[in-house]
Amino acid sequence: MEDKKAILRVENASRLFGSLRAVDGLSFEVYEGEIFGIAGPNGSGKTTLMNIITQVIPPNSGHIFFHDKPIHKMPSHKICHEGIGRTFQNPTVFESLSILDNMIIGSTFGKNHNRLQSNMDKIKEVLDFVNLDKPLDRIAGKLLVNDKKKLMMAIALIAEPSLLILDEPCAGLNISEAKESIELIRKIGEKGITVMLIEHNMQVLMNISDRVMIMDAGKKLCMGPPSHVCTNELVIEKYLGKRTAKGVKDIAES
Amino acid sequence: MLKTTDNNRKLLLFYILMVLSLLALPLFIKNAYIMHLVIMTCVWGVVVNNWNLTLGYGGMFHIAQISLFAVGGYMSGIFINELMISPWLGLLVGGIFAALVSLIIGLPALRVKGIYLILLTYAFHYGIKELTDHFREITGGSMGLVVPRFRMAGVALQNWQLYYVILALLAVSVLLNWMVVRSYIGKALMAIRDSDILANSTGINPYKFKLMTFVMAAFVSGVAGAFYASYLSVIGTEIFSFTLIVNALGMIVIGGMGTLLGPMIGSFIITFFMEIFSGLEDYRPILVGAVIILVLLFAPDGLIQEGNKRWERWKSRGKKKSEELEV
Repeated sequence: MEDKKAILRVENASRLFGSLRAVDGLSFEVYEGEIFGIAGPNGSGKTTLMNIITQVIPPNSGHIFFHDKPIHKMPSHKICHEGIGRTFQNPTVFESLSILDNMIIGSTFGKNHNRLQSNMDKIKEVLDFVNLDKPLDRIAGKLLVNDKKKLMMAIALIAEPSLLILDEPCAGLNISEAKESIELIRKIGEKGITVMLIEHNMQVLMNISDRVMIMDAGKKLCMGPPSHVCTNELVIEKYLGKRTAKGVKDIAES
Repeated sequence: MLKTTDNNRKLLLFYILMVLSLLALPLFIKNAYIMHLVIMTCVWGVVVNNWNLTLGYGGMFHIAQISLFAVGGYMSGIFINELMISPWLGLLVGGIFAALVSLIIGLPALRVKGIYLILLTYAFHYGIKELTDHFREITGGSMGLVVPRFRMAGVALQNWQLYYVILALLAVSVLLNWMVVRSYIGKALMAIRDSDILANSTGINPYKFKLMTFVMAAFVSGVAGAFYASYLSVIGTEIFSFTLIVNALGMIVIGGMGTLLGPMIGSFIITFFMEIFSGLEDYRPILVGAVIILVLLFAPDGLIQEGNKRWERWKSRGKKKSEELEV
């Protein structure tokens, strides 16, 4: 993986909320085509990190490069045009609009087109890919949580991002839905899209990620392949605990 | 597909009938006062139609529309009086000044939302009112600004002729909004209204689209303001009353926020309601408030949406009955 090209480079990024350092001088790289997992205790700064990468909240200091282009001063919508897509922890869709309109919006603005893009073949292809089998005129707000999450993923995917940031895609899903979601992330990775994945479920993360970064108090605790991370003493002490670490290690090794 | 075509045909027929009835209206209304009320319904129809574009479709909870309408009226009146331009040109002047002022207020105000946007636009509303009071030599202050009426070939137009003028403006306004709502701008607006954070990360610049529609809606409202001033031959500071803001918001809520025809139905109801109960004077706002509360309780999405829901329910019930009979 080391000889791979970095698609995203975060250098010394920090974000403060008052006196709280949510992200504290964090540096790392995400390589092209990998699934990069991020985990850590509640309040460790994972979602803030996603938000400063996508400029939902600008960083107080530091630099972020995407394909070697600085993006830390770019507005959020332009980051999407550069090729970074994202989903949210809570299923967020355009509630009052139909599935079709949600997809048209993703397709039109994701690529910064100035007229409506309603290529039905492409829309159906992406909806098939995420396995959302609902009538196109169904109002998005009336979908169930899992379907909303699929639609949110489809909106991000139809803009053809080269980096997709997923914030806890399995949160709120039952076991079979979570399995389907993991399978979908794997399929996205196979398409050559780089994935950055925040996930609390360490078994999921170790199972699917090429590399994992564990965060604690806004800092990087440990980063590397899953088998390396789950044997790290600091990670076991501060985050996993001995019993979980053993289970996770078995998964990572298998 | 067949069903959609059939529905579209019915809808087209409905619109054609509606346009024909509106065109034929002066033939049936012989009472000058009723004609005046119809004209005022159309004036408020234009204002709330455009307020609805920003509020109902764009989710911008602002209260600047009436002040922008007033800016259009006052600036048109001032230009007509001071520069001796024709009231017809005054329509354009009203629109341009309302658009310019909306740009000035929109640039800072549309960066915030919710209660902050309401407060900022409320401050703007009173700022404009204070300015009209302050420059009373040219605005007429509390006495109002006298504005010449519309004329053609030296003859003042009658109310039935002015009805066609405001009807044309209303038609242009509805058509413009319909086009915006169906275009990528409309999709962006609705996306921003539903979730500006998702819209932003989907590649939409919320600020740009909000400002664009805010200015566009201000231009049309400004033209309506200019028409109002010349039609009534006067525009005064009562235009800034809080009651008027509540009435206009009531028109949108009663008719249906985020629908094209709803606000116009609302403007018809409120305008006639205010006149029917004109004898009650100061108690009228209480009655309007009661009507708004009743609509919010029994038809929270407005009369248009409620009508659609009931129609769909009635149709599905009819379908079920015919299926049962077939069985």
